[in-house]
Amino acid sequence: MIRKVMDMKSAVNLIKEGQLLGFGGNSLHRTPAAFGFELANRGLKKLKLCNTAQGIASDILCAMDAVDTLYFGFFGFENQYGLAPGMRKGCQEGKIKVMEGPCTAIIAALRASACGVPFMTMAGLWGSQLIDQLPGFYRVVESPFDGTKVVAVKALRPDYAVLHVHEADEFGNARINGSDYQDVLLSRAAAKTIITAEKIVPTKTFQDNPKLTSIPHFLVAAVVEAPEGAKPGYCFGLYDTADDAGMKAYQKAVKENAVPAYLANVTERRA
Amino acid sequence: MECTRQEMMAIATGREFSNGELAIFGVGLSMLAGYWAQKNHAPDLVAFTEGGVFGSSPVGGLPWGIEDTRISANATSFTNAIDALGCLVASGRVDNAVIGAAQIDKFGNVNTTGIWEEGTQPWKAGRYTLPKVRLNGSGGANEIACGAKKFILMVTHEKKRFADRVDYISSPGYLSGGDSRAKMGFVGGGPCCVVTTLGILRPDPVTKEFYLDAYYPFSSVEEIKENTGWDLKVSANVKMAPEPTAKELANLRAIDTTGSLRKG
Repeated sequence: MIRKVMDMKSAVNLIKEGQLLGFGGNSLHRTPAAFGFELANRGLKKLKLCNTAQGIASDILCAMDAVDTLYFGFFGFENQYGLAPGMRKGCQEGKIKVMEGPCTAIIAALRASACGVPFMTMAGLWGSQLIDQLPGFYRVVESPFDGTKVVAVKALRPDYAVLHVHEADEFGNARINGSDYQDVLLSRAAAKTIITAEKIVPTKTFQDNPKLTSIPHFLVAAVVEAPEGAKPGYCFGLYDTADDAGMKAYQKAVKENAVPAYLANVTERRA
Repeated sequence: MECTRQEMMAIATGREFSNGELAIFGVGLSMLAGYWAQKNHAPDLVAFTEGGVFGSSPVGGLPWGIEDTRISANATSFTNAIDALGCLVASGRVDNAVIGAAQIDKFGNVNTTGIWEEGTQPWKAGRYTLPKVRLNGSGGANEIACGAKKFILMVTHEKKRFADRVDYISSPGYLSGGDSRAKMGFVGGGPCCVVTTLGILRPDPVTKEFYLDAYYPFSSVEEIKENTGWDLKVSANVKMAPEPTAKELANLRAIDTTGSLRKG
């Protein structure tokens, strides 16, 4: 096994302009915020982001004009914190193109990539404008066996999945406690995975209970120790609710066009 | 160094693995070859099984199959076959693998489905006919043959196993040779060699027909040709595969704790 531990800057430097990234977690939960903040500092453009329900790691990149395409089923900060301000602004100003799906369609696209096929079929979906308006992503096709209509969703292969997890070893074996949402699938769909972990632990932790390993090490390109790396979001069992002041500060920053100052503040505090 | 034919085959197979590769070793003797490579020269060779056991280092003798619990020792992750075969193999992540066969042919096609009376093979009869011997089936070998970047065929060298054309293609090698496999558009590249109890065969880069590349200290070109069911071409540079070194053999016997390879 090969050691892959590095600092956040080095991991962020793996990303190139224009790449497709899949950030793990679900909305506020285990969003790889520390990674997203550091990436937003780099000033890359034309990034493409995909996952079922995206969080602040994605939103701050939208707010910094780093994103030109989003694939999502849902993108918001739930009842407590409302709409995602960076995404909303980018879309309303026409800077970001959205390939919207129900969450299952994003999952179908990732499953296609994970299985090495150009599309994955799923039931339902037709009749909505999602299908009519995104022929580059969805097509209605007929079963070759009995003519039943199904929707084909085009494969999405992220250049990197970026996942914030509870524990990882120095080789990249990673464990998620609580729901893994689409993180395990993202690691199989992406070309490579970057892990940010609350804690680096010995490999024996994984050998003692291999059933609890979410990501095997060979899929992983980088491991970064990032305690509280999902803040101002949360992480099951460790910090179970959002950092209210942090979320409000972020929303205020987007509203007042003061994201760079916010970013400088949060990344400086981590350094 | 004195060694058995099976030990030589295991070492010759293991030498085909490089450090850092992601591999599926298969089951049985091929697994010993893989774990030997890991111990001998490729410490960062990463292996998983088609059942979704990752990073294990089996103890207590040769696991008899992928479901043998001995295969799970020291594993770092357990998932399942949808993950291991359906995702990791099928999407083309695997660098190298070993596949066994009841029968292979000159283009490296693999038959693990059945043996038919001469003339009644489905491809000759033009329809599915009943086999004389029904074998255990493709298992995960077809996915590996299609998806792995390359794979090694590991087969006991007997005339009945080395056919001009297999009775049934359970897992594709180079099909009818030439560019016939390339036309199929598989993500995987096909068999890189056939390692047997007598020698090593490799595919011609253009015709894809397997020729004899190397014999062993205890075998000869003549013996290998006699035990092959097609007119085996011999490389102009045919050579003896390096004899196992003392270190290689010691490492193999440290892996093969129950002597599975010393019986044959």
